[in-house]
Amino acid sequence: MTANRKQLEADLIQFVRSRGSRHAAVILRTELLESGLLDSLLLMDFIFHIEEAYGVRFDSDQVNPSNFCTIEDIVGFVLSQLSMPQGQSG
Amino acid sequence: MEVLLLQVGTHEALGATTAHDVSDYRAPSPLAVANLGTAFLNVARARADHPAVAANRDVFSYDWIRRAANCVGGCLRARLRHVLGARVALQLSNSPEYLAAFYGTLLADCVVVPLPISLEEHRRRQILESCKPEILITRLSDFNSQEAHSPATTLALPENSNEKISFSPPVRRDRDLAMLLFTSGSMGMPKGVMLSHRNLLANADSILRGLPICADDRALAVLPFCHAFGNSILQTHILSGATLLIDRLTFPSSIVEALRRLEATSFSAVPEVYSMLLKYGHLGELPLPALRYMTVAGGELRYDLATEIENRIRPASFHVMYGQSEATARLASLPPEQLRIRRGSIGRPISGVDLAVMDEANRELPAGIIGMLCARGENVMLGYWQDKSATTDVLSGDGWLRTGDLAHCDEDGFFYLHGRASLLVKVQGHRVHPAEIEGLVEAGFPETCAVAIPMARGDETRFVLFLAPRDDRPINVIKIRAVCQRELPAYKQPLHYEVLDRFPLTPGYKIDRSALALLVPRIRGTPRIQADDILTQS
Repeated sequence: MTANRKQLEADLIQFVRSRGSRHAAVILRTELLESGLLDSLLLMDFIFHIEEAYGVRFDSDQVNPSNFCTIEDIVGFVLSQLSMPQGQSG
Repeated sequence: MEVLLLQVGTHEALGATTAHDVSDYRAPSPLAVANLGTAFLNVARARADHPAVAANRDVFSYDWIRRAANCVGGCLRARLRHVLGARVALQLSNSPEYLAAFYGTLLADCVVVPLPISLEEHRRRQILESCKPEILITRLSDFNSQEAHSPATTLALPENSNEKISFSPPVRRDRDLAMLLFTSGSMGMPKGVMLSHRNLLANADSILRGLPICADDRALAVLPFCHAFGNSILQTHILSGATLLIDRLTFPSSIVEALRRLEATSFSAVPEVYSMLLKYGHLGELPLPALRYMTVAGGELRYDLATEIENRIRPASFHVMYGQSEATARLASLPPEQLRIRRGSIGRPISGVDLAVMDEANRELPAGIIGMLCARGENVMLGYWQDKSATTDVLSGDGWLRTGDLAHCDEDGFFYLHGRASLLVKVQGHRVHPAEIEGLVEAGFPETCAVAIPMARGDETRFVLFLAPRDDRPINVIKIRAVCQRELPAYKQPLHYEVLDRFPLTPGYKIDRSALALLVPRIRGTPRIQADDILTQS
């Protein structure tokens, strides 16, 4: 479980870093919203990537700031969607 | 390249951002002057106290923007003596600083090169090497740490009280270059679309004749101003004396919330944004009494989504528009009442623009026949920056621009698109050429032959990357995927990687891309990584 959370974290960190040098220093707990790094285009890409790569679908109420503050939040959300009990225990 | 860091000092708050100023101001036609900077100054003087930009909680009047633009212009002139037409790169998100830098650059007789604030490093290098800007204007929050080694000067806006700024009016005009807009070219290298003062003024004038933009308008600006469509929103509203609303618009629901809270009268976006608003934004659930209209351009919005938007925003109207950077921004518009009658149409040419469907020999085709959509008008670019052959490929001697889009025209003069003629694909309003992805992979993995094929995914377009060996060496998909993830922005990254023993070939022994495209539907629908791989039971 831990190893796979790591894999998901690494994938999403890499995903954000590929946006260019402004995003190159992003880590798990970087504040994506406060820093202005998460704009609407990156958000669209995130949703798209997560749906494609992990088969996780977002409901209209799940695309909100509490799930996208940091990469850690996004990882937490994806894991919770993949499997409720495991996701919550982390 | 010197870096100029803009810093907003004091500014005069003009009260609540929702303050309405009902006035009978009518801006002069943009075509009344020959320089876009001068056109701005004329409006800014007449609308001095009116909000030009309402950004988050701050309001910036036209007078503030004018003084800030003068400040930037004065600073550029002091640094770039006698360099008419010197390039000045802008790396700024939507902000009052962007407007100050844009018009300040024109007032200093320089050329604006707007850069997206998130840009892959190799692409950024290609653009900077191609147009060699003397100065990069940015601000701390948009600053790229990689430029930190360049000498940086901080400029406080609107003005330094010790420094009286007065300089002579700009001399560049009409067909002089005003703006270089970089876009993806046919071989994946960036191409600089050269737009003159006349191009920008003429397209603004055409749009103002077709859309109900007035001086009391408040447009919520979600599109980046560095994009042709975003730039056109900027110019048309500023040249009308209206207000641009800038807000944190990360989430679809925050866009809808901002439309309501800021009492926006209009909104314009690319198709992908509208899909998101429908899916996640709760558009239409709460009334938007101030909203008068919305527009879409920068790609094709599916017919059912367009009518859904129209239903949800009533009584506001929905304008489907069409354009491209080479034509400054916009070329055609579908009157809202025709949306359901002319299903899938991009409308008719806007004022001052001619559209025609032509064959390979540039002969006009009759109604109903599909051919190359061509455009003519004062908004058609001067050409591509330092690329004569690319320019002659698309611009004919008599002023017709070959748009690269296939289209037909109906008996009543309405146009309908049938996809791109070349391999260029539009993703989120950006043009992407498969060669960009293929070149990256083949440079790093010479044993591999790579072909990127577009695939539809919902309302979006993405790529499948097909890989085949050139020799006996195996293909390392994991490493290839890692390179794509590292080097490409998300929207260019292949969604699927498919290894074939060999590629299908055409009778001319070229890779048969249409045969590969037929393989795409079989690949779709499977998540790339199965949930089981992530959630192994402990």
